[in-house]
Amino acid sequence: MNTLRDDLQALAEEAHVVDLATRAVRGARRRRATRLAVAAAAVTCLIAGGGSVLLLKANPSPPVVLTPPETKAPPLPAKGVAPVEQAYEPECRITVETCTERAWRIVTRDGRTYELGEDVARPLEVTADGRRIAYYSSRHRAIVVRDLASGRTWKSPLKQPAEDFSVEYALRLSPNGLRFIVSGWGGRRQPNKLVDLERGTVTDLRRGWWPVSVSDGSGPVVLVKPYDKSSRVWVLGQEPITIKDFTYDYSALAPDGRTLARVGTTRDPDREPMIQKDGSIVVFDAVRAGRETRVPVSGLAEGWRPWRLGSWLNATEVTVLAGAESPNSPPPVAYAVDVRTGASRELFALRGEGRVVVPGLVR
Amino acid sequence: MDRYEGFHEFVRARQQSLMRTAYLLTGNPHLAEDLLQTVLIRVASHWAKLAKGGNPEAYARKALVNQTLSWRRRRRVELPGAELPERAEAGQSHDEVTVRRMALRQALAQLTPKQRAVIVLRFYEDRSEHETAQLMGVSVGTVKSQTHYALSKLRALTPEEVYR
Repeated sequence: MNTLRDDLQALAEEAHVVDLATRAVRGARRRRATRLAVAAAAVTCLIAGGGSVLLLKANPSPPVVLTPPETKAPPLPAKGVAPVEQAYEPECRITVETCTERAWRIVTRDGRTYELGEDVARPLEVTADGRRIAYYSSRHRAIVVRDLASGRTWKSPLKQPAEDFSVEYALRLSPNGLRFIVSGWGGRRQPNKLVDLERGTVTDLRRGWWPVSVSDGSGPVVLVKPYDKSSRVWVLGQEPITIKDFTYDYSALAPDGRTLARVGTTRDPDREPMIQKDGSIVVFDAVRAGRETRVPVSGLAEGWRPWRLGSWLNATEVTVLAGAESPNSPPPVAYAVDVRTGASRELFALRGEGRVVVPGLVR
Repeated sequence: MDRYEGFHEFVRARQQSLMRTAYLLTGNPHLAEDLLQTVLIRVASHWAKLAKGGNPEAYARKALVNQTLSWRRRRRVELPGAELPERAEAGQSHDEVTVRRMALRQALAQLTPKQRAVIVLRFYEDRSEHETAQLMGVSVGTVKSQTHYALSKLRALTPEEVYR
């Protein structure tokens, strides 16, 4: 083990020489000033009474979502279920031991909640239209796709141990759910496979590339690979392009088959963290480098930023998940954002607890 | 009295040591700086209390580990160095060491954040299993199992019979 110790020491010596005292004090002062300002504003609002109501009207406030109390949900019927609005894995409420027994639930667009069976494990994803779910079945040791209306299921030809999903993973579905990429990092195995359920095929993808978008049939597949200050975007079958952002937050491929959106970021050494989501989305050509447009998103609640992107609702509107960074802020909200104007319209608020899955969201 | 009296001296004395740990935890100089700056802002915010009777360095080290484990963005950063060079001829020990360290750097990038943290705390900072568990906020059993997985992976990803 001394060799390992020596090598770690040698690597550690490569760390940059820094002088962070002044920056840290500046950051702490800013934090303190913000805290005091918020406290002062709260007091002012209390004193002002009715005046605060006017202020709230002037600045759209984040929607207040009350977490409903834990209730029993009926099991998912064999068929005839409406499309999913969101799925969630409830948090442990009693003891840690019960965590192993918690089951996924889906909330449908007609307002019903169903509990999925014990066989349904992580990962669980929902197609962009909400009509099909895909999950790891511990019984089949494979990903299973289920059509909620008809009850039909498709089983992946790729057998996988549950340990593939005990580390970092991604399950990216095509719009109809019958083609997907399953990837994993950090575990013993590091799968990165494209699975086609209609053809019954499994294709190996190059390691180290993160799945962003999969089209139905034989349509385009998009992978990305972030570097220090840039990222490579690769539409399979084309040359990868390089963009000047480090990010994982992309949309699915637009209906034109070549446009992608990503969450806009800026790099500021005086802030923490240095890379900040700046409230914009950047639309770019994933096939030909250099063509991109940055659009500030408007209409979100005060202080909210786009976090993640998802599927396209039409040729110009993309799904955006937005929220605030502070820990006590309300749950995030899914919006439709017009990439030409940045105008947003609210779709639905996420549940405020547990692990939530939004149909078609890239994550 | 200055609210941050003594903070500058603390940072000047300890920042390079903390930076080295941050660099090993992230594997990336920019993220390491980002991580340490985040942690030092937190230390500065609590400086009055820490300077009176607390242990600022212990607080900062624990915050470094916690922050790195919760930092989603740290998930996967590519290393600037691409391929390992060709193996050196026998007797060229310097090249062997260089290749081994490059392999270690790449192997560390393949570990999960928890595995990487146990390797850094156990073998760089020479912490006991108990101390490591306290710093990471996990059980000693988890530290043992994560160390086992991490070492197995490092051995599989690095050349020759090193790190036994």
